[in-house]
Amino acid sequence: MSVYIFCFILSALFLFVTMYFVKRRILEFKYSIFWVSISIAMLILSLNKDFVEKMASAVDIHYAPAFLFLIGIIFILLLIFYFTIVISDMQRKIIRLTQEVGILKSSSKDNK
Amino acid sequence: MRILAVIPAYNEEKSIYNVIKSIRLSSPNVDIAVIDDGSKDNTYLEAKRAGCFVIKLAQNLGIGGAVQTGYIYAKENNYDIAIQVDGDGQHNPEDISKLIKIIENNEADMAIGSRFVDKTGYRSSIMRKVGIDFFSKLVSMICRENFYDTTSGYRAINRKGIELFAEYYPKDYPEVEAIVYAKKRGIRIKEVPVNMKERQGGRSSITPMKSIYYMIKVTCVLLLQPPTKAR
Repeated sequence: MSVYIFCFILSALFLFVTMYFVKRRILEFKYSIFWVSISIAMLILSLNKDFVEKMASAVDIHYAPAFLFLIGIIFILLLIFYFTIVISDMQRKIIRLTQEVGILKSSSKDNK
Repeated sequence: MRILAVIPAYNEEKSIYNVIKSIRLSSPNVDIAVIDDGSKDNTYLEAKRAGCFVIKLAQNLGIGGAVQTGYIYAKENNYDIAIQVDGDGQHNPEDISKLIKIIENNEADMAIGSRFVDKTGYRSSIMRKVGIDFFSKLVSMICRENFYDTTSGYRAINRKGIELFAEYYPKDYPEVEAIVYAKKRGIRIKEVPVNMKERQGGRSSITPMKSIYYMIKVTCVLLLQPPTKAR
């Protein structure tokens, strides 16, 4: 099995899984966009062997499928970066919640 | 003028009772709010034993999150001045009136109880001195105004500052960054000489490993300040 077919199957599977989780409302739609676009991009790339080979030689990569992997890795890096932004935002929200709950609790009980 | 003393406390069961009592004694017109930052010891009960108002945080947020809780509380309850006092007894409560006077006379929006403006009796290790010196120089450079004791957590602030800090306050190691953040947003800051004692109980939260992280983190955030007009 060529690496292109393998990539194609993997991407199709991924797309399917992503859609399934969105449909079940387990995965937030906002975060699915990223996965869907990775999957589709990989699908297209794995179907266009010539295109991938041209792009690979343009950046001096001799083994064309390595270009495919490079694209995948870049996507994943971007995704992780985006996640750390999301985590930071959540952290801020959790802090604010903890503070508000603390203040609320302190005034609701016979605290004074 | 309504004045609130904010005392962030994390595992300060040994000292918190005395800190509260001595603030009451020296400044009877000041309300006190202890922020129990998810302590694992009896800090909450000790503060309660002193008859104090306590905000108990469900989890440990770190000093910045705890102090900010005090500012949010002060904002919501319309306090004119908030004064931040450490729970470990390092700060002499008699200096509270000095800090408040600066704000009341509108000499500044924020008053910092400083160990180094005059030669006060405070002694510390060499490493600590190097760090304190470094931040003093860096902050002075960024703010284009001389600041000496940037790591002091003993400070009073007026309504304008309360509102600013309720909105944003650095999460960990907040003291130094808060000065620059406030200064860049038009808060006038003045340092007031105070005496600080050795801590009465508990342990310093800063270990050698953490102090390296402290230096790097604070330096980076000082150099990477958020734009003033942003939200």
